[in-house]
Amino acid sequence: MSDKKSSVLWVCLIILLGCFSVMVCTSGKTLAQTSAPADSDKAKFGGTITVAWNLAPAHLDPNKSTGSEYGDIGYNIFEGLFEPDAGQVATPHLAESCKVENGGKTYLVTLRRGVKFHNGKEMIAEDVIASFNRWLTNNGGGKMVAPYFDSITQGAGPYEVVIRLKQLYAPFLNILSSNVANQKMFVMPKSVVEAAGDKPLDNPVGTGPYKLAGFIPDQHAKLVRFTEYTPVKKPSSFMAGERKAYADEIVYKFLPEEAVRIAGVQSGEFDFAVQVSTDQYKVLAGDPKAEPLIVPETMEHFFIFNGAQPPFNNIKARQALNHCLGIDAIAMATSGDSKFWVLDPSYMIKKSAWYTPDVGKGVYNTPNIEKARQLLTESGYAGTPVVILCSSADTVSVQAAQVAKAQAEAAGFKVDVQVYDRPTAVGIRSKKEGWNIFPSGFIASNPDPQVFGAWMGTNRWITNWDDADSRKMDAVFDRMMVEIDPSKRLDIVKEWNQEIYRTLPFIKLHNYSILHARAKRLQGVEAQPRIMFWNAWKEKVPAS
Amino acid sequence: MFNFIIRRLLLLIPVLLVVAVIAFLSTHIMPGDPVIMILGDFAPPEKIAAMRLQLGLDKPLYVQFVIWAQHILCGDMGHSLFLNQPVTQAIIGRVEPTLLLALIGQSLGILIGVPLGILAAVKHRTWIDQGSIGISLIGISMPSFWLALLLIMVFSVRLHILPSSGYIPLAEAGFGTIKYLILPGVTLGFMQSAIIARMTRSSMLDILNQDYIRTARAKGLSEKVVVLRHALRNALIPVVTVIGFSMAVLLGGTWIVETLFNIPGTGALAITAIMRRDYPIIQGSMIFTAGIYVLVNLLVDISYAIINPRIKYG
Amino acid sequence: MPSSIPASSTAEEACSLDRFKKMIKSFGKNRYMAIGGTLIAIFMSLALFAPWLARCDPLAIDPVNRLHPPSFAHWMGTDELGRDVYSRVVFGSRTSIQIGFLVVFLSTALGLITGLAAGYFKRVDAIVMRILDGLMAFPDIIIAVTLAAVWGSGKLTLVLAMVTAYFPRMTRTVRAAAINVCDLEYVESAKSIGCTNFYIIRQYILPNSLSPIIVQAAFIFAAAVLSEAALSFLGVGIKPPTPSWGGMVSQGRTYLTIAPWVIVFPGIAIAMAVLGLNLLGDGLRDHMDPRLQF
Repeated sequence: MSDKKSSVLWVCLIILLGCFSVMVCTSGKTLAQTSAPADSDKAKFGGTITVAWNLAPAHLDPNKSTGSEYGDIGYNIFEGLFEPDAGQVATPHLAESCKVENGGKTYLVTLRRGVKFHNGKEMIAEDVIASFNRWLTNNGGGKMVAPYFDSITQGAGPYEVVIRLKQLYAPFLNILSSNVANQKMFVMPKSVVEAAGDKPLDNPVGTGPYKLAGFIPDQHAKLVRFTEYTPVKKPSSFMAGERKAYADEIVYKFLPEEAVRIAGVQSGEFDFAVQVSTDQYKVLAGDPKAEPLIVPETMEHFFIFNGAQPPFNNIKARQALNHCLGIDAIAMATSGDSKFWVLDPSYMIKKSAWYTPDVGKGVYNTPNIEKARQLLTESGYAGTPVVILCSSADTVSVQAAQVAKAQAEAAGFKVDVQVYDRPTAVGIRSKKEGWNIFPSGFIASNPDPQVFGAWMGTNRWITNWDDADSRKMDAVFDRMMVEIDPSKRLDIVKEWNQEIYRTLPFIKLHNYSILHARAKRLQGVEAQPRIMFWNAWKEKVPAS
Repeated sequence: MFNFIIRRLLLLIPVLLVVAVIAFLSTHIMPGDPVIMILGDFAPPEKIAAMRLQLGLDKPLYVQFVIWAQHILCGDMGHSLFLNQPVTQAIIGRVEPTLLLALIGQSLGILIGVPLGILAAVKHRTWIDQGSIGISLIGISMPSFWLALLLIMVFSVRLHILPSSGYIPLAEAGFGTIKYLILPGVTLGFMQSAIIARMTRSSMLDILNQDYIRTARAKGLSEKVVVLRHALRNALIPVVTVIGFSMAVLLGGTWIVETLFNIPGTGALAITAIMRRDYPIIQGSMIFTAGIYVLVNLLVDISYAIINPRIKYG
Repeated sequence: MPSSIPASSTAEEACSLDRFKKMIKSFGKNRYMAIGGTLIAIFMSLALFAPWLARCDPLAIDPVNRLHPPSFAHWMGTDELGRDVYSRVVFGSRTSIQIGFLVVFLSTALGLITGLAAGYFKRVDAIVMRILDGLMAFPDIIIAVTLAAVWGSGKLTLVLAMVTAYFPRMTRTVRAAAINVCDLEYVESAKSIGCTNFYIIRQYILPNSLSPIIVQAAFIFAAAVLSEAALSFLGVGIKPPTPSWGGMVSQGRTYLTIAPWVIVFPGIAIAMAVLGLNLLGDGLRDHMDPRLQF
C-alpha cells in the first residue's frame, strides 16, 4: 500500500518527462513535397506574408532613430533617390539619372516622372527638397553630411534637383542610399514633411510598393500593396531595380521571444522569422515546413575599450588584452559551427570595394599568453577588475564576454562580466567610468567606411578616446572623406585599418552570419543584410 | 460594517498617492534613459539633448515631480513616450485580453482545483489524495515559461492544433479569440489549480474534522450530502479568499505568460515599458495594479469578517 | 503541558526520547514530509558537497565541445559554451539555497515585526496593511531593476527585491494568526491580569503563530527559487558566469529543441527543489495541525 502511495508522485514526474520526449523527438520524417517550379509571374500574386520580427519600433520614421527596427518596415513604404545594389553601389532609383559636376561638388539629379506617393500626388522636386532638408537636420547620416553641404535647389523644371557641396565628400551618394543605421535619404511628400517637422512622422507616406494600413506599437504593422506603384524598369538587385508587390499584404508581428518566432514558422502561422540563433540551423533544415536562410557575414563583432579609464587608457594594456584573445574560440562559442563565421581582419567585408585583407598582421587573432603577461606588467596594471559591460538581450556579446573573461584571466587580468537589461547597460556605457569594455556587433556590409567615422576617432560614440593617436585617426578620416580617386582612397582605407591595429582603440573579432527562418511556401526572399519582402511570393497550397 | 467599507474606500486615496510617489521616484531612480531607447544607439548628443528638452526630462527631478503631481491630481497620467497614446488609454486598451485571460485561467484553475481538492480531502491519506496533490504540486513547481514553451512545442509545433502566439480582440474575432487564449489560459490555469486544490483540500480537511460533520454523519446522512452540502459550503469560504487574491495577481497582468504568447495585456505593457523606460506607462501600470490590489484586499478583509464573526471592524 | 509535569531527570529523558521516537514515526507516516524531506536533503547535500560532487569546474569554457549530449564525460551534456551541465547544476544549488535562505530569513523577520504589530495593536493595523497593499503593487522586477542601479546586479539585489515582494505575504500570515489568537479567552484573561504586551506576544501569540509561519517560510523558499528563474528570464537575474538554475533555464531556452539537456536538467532541479519545499510545507501543516493527527 505504502509503495503505491509514494510511487504516484514519481509517476507524475515521469509524465512530465514524457511531455519533453514528445516534444524532443522529431517528427521530421515526412519530406516536403517539391512543388513544380513557379509557373507564370501572375500566379505569384496574392496572399498575406506574415513576418515575426524581433524588435518593436515605437514609430515608423527612419529619420528619428538609428535602430534598425525603425528602418526595416519603412523600406517597404519609402524609397530613396538612390538605392544600393548587390555590390553596395548607389544606383538611381527615384532619380532617373545623376550628373556630377564641378569636380565632384555639384550633383545634378533628374527625377523619374510619374512616380506617385501613397497620397496620390506625383513626386516632384519640392518634395525631394523638403525631405532632404528634414534629413539633414534629423537623420544621423544627414548630420554627417551637413558640414560639407551648401545648398539644394530646384533645377530646370520640377523634375530636376541641384545639390551643391561646400567641399568634396566622397561617400555622398553612398550615404544617400545607405542601408545601415537608417542613414538613407527617403523621399516623402512635402506636406507630410512639413506636418511632421522635427517630430516623428504620424502618417508615413512614401512612394514604395507597400503602404501602411495599420500600426499598433508592440503588436503589429500591417502593409498593403500600393496599386499605383511605379517600379524601376531594371532587374532587381538588393534594394535597387524593380520591386514587385506580389503579396496583397505584409504583416509584421513583433515577437521578442526567439522560441516563439521559430515555433510560429514551424506551425505554419508565420512565413518568416528574423534573427534566430545559428544553433537552430539543424532544426530548421530538418523541419518539413521550414527552411533556414543564412545571410553570410552580416555582422562583425567588436570589443570597444573605454579609453578614459585605466587600465585601457594605456596602449600596453589594450595590446595585452588583444594577445589574450583566441578569436576562434569566441566565434565558436557565440556562433557555433564554423560555417557561420569567418575570421577577417578587414573592417569592410570581401565584396566591398574597400576590402583590406592584408591589415592587422601580427595583431589580429594572435593569442600569446606570455606576451600578454609581459605587456600587462609593463602597463602597470594594478589588478582592479576589468568590467565587461553587456546588455542581456545581446547574447552574442554576453557569450563572447564570458569566453574573453576566461582567456584574459589566464594572463593575469581580473575580469568582471556585468550583464544588465539594455537601458541600464546603455546608461552605464554613456558615462566615462563604471565600465572598461563594451562588446557590440555592427552591420558588416557597409556601403562605405564613412559609417565607422561615427565611432572611430576622438571622443566618438562611447570610446572616450582622446589622445595624439585619436587625433591622427580623425585626420585620416578627414582625408578619406574628401578623396574621390578610388585607388588613392583605398590606400587611405588601408592606412586607417593599419592605424587601428597599431593603436587598438577596439578589437575586431569575427564576422558572423545571421540566420533567419523561412517557411518553405515563401519564395524569393533574398539573403541580404536587410530582409525585404517585395519580390517575394507565397506558393499557393493546393487544397487538400 | 458600512462605515468600515466607506473608511477603507477613503483610505484608497492616500494609498494610491503613496504608490504614485513611490512610482514616480522609483522610475526616475531606475538606471537607463528612455531617450536613447527612442533615438537609437548612435544618436548624436545634441539630438539626445533636444529630445530631453522636448520631453521635459531636462528639468530637475523635483520640478518634474511637481508638474507630474499636478497632472496626476487632475486625473491625467500623461502620455506614453513610445506608444503615441495617453497612458490611461493605453492601459484601458490592454485590459480586455488580460481580463479574458484571467477569467479563463481562473475558471480552469477552479474547475480543476476545487474537485481535486475535495477528492483529496475526502480520500485523505489514500493514493488518490497523494496523486492529486502530486499533480497540483507539479503545477506550482515549474517555472511558468518552461511550461509555456512546452505547451507551444507540443500543441502548436507538433500537433498544429492551436496558434503559438498572438491575440485578436473580441470585437474582431468573436469566439475566435478563445483559441488564442487556450494555451496561455492552460499555463495559468495549471498553476492556479495547484494553489486552489491545496487550499480546498486543507480547508476541507479542517471542516471534515469538525463536530457538526460528525453529527451529520452520525445522523446517518449519506457521505455525498455530508461532503457537498455541509462541508463544502463552509470550506469554500477561505478558498474564495484565495481565489480573490490570485485574481488580483492575474488582473495585474501575468507578464511572463503575456510576453511569451505575445498577448497585448496589462502585464506585457508594464514589462515592455520597464524594458525601455517608458516612465509614464510604468507609473500608470503601478497605480493601476495598486488600485486592484487595494480593492481586492478590501473584499478579502470583508470576507474575513463574514467567515469569523469574532473579528469586528468598527 | 509537559512542563507542568514534575518529574525526575531520567523520567524526563525517557519522555523526550519517547516524543522524539513518536515524531520520527509520524514523519515516516507522513509521506509528504518523507518525500519532501528526502528531496530537500538531496538539495542541501548538493550545495554542501558541491566541490566534491561536481566533476569539472562549472566555469570552465570549452567552445569546441559545446552543446554535446549527455555522455560518460558529461553526465548531463554541455551547454552553449561547452561547460559541464552536471557541474553547473550541482553548483547552482548553492546559489538557490543562498538566495532562498536569505529571502526566507529576511522576509520572516520583517513579516514577524509588521504582522505582530498589525495583528496585536489594532491601531497600527490600518496603517501597516495599507502600506503593504501599496508595496504588493510593485512587481519584483521593478524592484530588482531599480536596486541593480544602486548595487549592481547580483545576489543581494535579487534577495532584496524578492524580500520586498514576499514579506507582505508573511505579514498577512502572522497577522491572521495573531488576530485569531488575540480573541481567545486566555489572551483576554492574560491581559486582564496585567501581563505586558511583550509577555503576551512571546508567551501566547508567537507559539501559536509558529506553524503557519514555518509553512509559509517553506512556500516563500519555493517561490524564491522559482522567482530567480523568472527574473533571469527578463535578464535581471544572477550575472553570468555564476551558475544558477534559473539562469541556466532561461538562457538555455533558446536550445530547447536543439539541446534539451541544457534546460531540462536545471529545470528538473528547480521543479524537484520546489516540490520538496512544498511537500515539506504541506507535510508540516498536516503535522502541526493537531486536528489532523492520528
